[in-house]
Amino acid sequence: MVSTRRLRTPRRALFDFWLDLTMLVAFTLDYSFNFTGLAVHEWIGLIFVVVIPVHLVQHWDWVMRTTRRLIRHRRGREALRWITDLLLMPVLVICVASGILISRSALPSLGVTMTQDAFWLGLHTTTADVSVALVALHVALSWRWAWSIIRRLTGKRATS
Amino acid sequence: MGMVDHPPTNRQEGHVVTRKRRFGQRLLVVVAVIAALIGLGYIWRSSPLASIVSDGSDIGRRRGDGAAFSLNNIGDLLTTIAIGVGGMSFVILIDKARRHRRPIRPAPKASTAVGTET
Repeated sequence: MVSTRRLRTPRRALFDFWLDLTMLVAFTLDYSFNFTGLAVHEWIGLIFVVVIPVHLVQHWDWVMRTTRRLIRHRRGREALRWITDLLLMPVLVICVASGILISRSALPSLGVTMTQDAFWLGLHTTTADVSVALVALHVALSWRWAWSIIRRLTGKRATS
Repeated sequence: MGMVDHPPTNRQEGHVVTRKRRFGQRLLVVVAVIAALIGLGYIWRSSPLASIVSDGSDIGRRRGDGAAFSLNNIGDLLTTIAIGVGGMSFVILIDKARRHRRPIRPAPKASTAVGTET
């Protein structure tokens, strides 16, 4: 049964939700290189320079709390989420950083010329491929939280 | 000696300043960690282990020239969405099945608050 009582969603949770959704859409577009083209691909990539640190700071408390909890006693699902996030962070950081280091459009248009290094180019594509799998896992493991926000935004709440 | 209670506006301002300072401190730590990761990347590049990374020669084959935004290549976007949705659905289905097998005991009092991720 679904009631239409609108529930208040804290501003912080809303901000997290919209930031995370923006990151997901941006990542999906950015990975579709042939669709966006080089210039759009690189400009979207530059957005991540700002949003990744903000995302990490926003979830700082969760990281600390979960780390402390996992030290005391392991829990399967939580441990999987923690490990996924632990892997995703360096992979995404290296992906964005290597993308900047091989920029052929966005940075040159700002007057910054980057050298085309085969190592960074290879690392960029490898980390991008790994990121797709890790981002999907990362989002899927947070689906209950995301779903609860969506329900509140649409003003519906399941009652049993 | 009575307790001096600050007016609510001062308290709110103090709270905002503390929150901003805490955000700034955490941001500095995050930026330092990111810088360290990039530094490790540079160390990796100059180490013998650099050869385990593809030299990028297959990128043209996999990604095309990426000349400009093109709706003709919407298939690329759909492929990305299919990979993402497929992966997510798989994990969510497993998660739901596990939860169904081992239902979580409901909390004694239903809460209406939605916090950050728990």
